[in-house]
Amino acid sequence: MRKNLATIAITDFENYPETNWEHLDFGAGFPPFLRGRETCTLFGKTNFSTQKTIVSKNNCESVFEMLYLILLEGIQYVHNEIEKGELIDTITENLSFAITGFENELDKTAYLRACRMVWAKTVKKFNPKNDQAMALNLAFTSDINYSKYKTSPTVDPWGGSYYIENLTIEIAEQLIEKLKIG
Amino acid sequence: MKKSLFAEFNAVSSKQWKQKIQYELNGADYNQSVIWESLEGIKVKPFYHRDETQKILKINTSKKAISCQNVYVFDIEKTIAKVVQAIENNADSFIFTIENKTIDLCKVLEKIPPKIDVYFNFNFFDKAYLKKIDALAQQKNCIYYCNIDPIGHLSKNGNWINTEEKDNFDALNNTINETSNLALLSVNGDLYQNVGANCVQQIAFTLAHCVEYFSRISNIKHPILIPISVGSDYFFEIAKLRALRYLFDIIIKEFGFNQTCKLIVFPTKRNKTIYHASENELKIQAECESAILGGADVIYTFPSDFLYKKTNYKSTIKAQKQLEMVVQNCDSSQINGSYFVENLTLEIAEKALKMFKKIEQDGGFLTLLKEEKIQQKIKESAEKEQKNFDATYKIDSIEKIKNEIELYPFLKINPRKIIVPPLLPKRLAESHEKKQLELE
Repeated sequence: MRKNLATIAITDFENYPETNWEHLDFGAGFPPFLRGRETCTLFGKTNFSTQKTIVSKNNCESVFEMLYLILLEGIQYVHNEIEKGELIDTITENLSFAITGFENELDKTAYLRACRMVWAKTVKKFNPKNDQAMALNLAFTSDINYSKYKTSPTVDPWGGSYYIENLTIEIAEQLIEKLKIG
Repeated sequence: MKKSLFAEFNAVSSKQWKQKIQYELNGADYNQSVIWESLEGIKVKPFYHRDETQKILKINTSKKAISCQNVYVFDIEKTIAKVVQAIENNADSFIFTIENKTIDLCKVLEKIPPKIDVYFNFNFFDKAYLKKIDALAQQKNCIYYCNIDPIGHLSKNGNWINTEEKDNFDALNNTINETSNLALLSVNGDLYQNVGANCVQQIAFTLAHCVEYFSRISNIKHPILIPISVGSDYFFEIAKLRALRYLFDIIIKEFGFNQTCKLIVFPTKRNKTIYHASENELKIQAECESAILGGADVIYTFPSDFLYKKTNYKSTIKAQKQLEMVVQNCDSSQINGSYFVENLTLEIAEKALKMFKKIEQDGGFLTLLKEEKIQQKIKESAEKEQKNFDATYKIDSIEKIKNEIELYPFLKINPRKIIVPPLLPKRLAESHEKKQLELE
């Protein structure tokens, strides 16, 4: 006589905890097209053909230092071009960042998410016409292990993970403070 | 939060997101353009949002996975040397594969401190042999995991295991009653993955497979070992392991047992190829990561050339180092809260539970295996997967490995008398590789 298991049900839930990640509404609500759905990098819009200026830094002391220097140079570049009379939308369309050298996948996800947020904050100050101008273009993404993402085409699959969100905001706060763009 | 850092941005609800995407699609159908349907029939959305993630499953995952070393026991002295050296290099656990009962494993086990976990893959089921190992485990005050799975043997080979008792379940019950420090029972869920079952089927079949034991074994004293393999669909595999553990916990309680499951996870062979070794390496790394994030208790790996080369020191060390690194960098709590994975876990769990109930309603796993319905279901799913794979496989004409082949890398079938048609593990690239080898 087999046991009747027809009544088993999934009932053991817990509520998603109340968190105070203020960036989350913005971070998670960041329109998907800014997150590179078209190339499935998960991290950014990548359009190799149109970007003329690539910012990169080598031999930095740490990943944080590299990101800081890259963003700093990006910000200075934007300021210079604005002074020359260029439009913010055109400037950012032609600008991309080469960010590599991460030790592991999880750190990379958090660092790139933080960078993306800080960059959007920077560009927003110049009132771009198009939201897409706020996207951080990655020049190349060679150290992203594509094999793990190829079949689940969802943007920002780590969004909401307590670990990644905490790490993201920690890095973003430090970058904003150091770049003095608060 | 001290100060609002992103006050200039407005919060965006999932509804607004969807509207925005629909606007950008410029008239194209939302469901057709941005919803991706998996082999399991799960519709993956382009984004997952907090306002759609209110309730999440409560899963009792082990926090930290331990890495395991795979040892094939043939020559006892060589095995001892290998094990002693591995212990000096801080090995956390071992899994021994033992071909026959003439091998006196106790000599090896004596060298292993009790704090190191030991698992076995026996190619036989012998009560006297197991009792000898049990005596040693008692003496050392530790538990050995024996990985005995007659139903798994039946599924894989088409026959029950040869034992002295009337049937395999009697043999199991007797051995369980006569030993105390052996976790005998295991449920090999990896077979279903390697034959081509999708994630939902793997969970449903593994659980239905468990239930056949829960209904026949009177005394389950130790955790149930569930060997399971992971494929390259990163987030699906994480969700698979989480859903499996969740459902196992609720089902075993129905039978009045209080045991947990121990997931021993390893990369699948199904998507590996004899060519493209570096691609294998990337896949293996991603698979180990997803195993740990999904909450594996124990994890082991293979070298990238394991399909056609005998175990060699260099590639084994490389693979082991790769694994240690992943184990160090990841733990299962890191994925907790991810909207995508939490939603996916729930969806996979719901679908798997539904399928599991249907199996039970139709008479249970063994009945359906004998009626060849399990085989048929997996075959349908495997064909779909094969079709997708064939569409993307590329032959690389430069790589030559014909002269390096030491092990036959394809499916071997030994003719024998069977009582049910066995489930035969098959790699997706096999037919392509055969063609490519001919071209070399």
